[in-house]
Amino acid sequence: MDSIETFVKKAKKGDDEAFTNLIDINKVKLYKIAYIYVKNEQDALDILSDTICKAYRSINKLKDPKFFNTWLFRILINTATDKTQNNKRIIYIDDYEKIKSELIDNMCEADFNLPANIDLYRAIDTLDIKYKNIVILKYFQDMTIAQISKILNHPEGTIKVYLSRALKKLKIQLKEEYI
Amino acid sequence: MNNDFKEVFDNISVSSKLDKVIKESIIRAKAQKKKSFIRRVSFKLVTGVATIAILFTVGINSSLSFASTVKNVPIVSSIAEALQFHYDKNIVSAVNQGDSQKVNQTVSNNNVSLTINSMARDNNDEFIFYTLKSNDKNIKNLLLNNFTIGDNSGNVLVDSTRNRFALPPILINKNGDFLALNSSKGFKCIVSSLGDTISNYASNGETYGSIEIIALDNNSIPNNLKLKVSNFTEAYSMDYLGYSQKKYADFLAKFNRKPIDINGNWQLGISNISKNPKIETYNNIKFAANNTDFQINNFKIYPTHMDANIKLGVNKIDNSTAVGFGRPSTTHQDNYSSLPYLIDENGSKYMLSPGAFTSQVNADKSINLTFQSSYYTNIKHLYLVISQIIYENGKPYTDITPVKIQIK
Repeated sequence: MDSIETFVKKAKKGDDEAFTNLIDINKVKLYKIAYIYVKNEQDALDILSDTICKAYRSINKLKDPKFFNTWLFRILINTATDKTQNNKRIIYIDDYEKIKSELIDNMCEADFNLPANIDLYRAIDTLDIKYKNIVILKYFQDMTIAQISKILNHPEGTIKVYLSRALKKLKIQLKEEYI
Repeated sequence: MNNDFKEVFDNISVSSKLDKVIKESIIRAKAQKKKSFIRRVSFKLVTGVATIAILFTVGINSSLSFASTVKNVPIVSSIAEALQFHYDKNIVSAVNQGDSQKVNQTVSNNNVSLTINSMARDNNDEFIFYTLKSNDKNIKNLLLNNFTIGDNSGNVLVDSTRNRFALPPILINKNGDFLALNSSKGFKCIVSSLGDTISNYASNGETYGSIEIIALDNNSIPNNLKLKVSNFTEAYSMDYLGYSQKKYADFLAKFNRKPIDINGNWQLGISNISKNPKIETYNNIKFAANNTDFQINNFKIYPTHMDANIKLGVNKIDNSTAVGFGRPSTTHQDNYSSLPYLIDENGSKYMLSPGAFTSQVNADKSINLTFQSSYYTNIKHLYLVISQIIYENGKPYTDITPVKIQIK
């Protein structure tokens, strides 16, 4: 059986069957992530369709075949962000530089465990898109900080800061709901 | 707890249309890719043609021999030839790079058509490029002579029939026919019919030139201007120092008659539609020259001019107070070199603006200097060069070893 890298190499040369195989391998995950953003079937399918089109048109620009999945999910996240944010792109400014004092370097995955009483599936819609992207990848996809950092193309420190802020927001929201 | 979210994720039911959507998306992507390939190839062809056109225009403007080779090529030739002699290279770059605003409006009267081709501007300095043509075969040359420039409310900002002033140093011995106009409303205006207009007109049947309007003091140029022309002539007759009497004499000798004046009414509106430009600013640059301390409080690069505000100091040896750089007002070419100028890393110079080569000391002991701009030229470094300081007391016009101050 061909590996993903072999499929990618073939797809880059214009092999449609290889490209279709690559999408088939990831289709369920892609659809479900899209669904978490928009919470309805039609919009999720639209996001998936646009993601496939973008990936097909630009696969020859992908330099290293082993990063195909990271690259594909990045396209999906950006497409979903566009869809949910009226075409506003995620712009990560220099927050990381400004908040180095928060000692983020010392934080580890365990620091981002969720409190038991957060209804994340519902609460996630209240988050700013820059937090939402990270929360979806971390808690629904079970990705590590390093993997999210690769997909969103931002330093791990930035991801940690945003994740920590997102959790803070979710906890505050939770408190308000209990009042 | 995290497992609960995994569970939520796993429980999202997958759409039954998923496979169909994937299939259709790949077909759509394939069609789009094909279309974009065709578009890309067409774009390359078009840009190839455009590049040749740009190379042609740049070639004409940068090489006299190339320009003379293509002298007889219509349309481009007159513009190219004229621009070679323009006194402001930044403006030539703006036109050649397509950074000027296209206007392309023509008005005709008494067999003469006036076309405004394009314009380049900022709030204090505007260049309007025009072309003049006549159907009358007896006409041997066309120069813009009597005109007014006003705003939308009917206020006249510049009137060419009044207050002509001596040619500024930058135009002396330049190839062209010029008018330098002063206005009591706080504006200056330079009309440049560029190149050897008589011979250009003989070969191309048109004159190409520019009108530069400069706002002085705190004035600014309105976004909408009205140009009203009432007279064109074949040759300027001037008595002022600096204007070429020889050109008038040449006309008489060549055609054995006096120049014809064409009166009529040509009116055109010129509206600025460009967005606010990005302005480069450099502050607090200190330097010393001839035992005197100076500070460039601010230096601003606008599209068509550069402004410097320089704090003047006192000579530490004889206590004389500096009041300026270079002779404040001159029409003599031999004093040209005493005026301050800017120079970039390629050796291109940016001279004092033709409308503002005098300056008065402000209440805070600073002066304002206005230069031609480097805005449309891609440069890394810019230096101010000063070779003469004027002192209030003591020895005036003190020549110094030129000082080069880095601005950018």
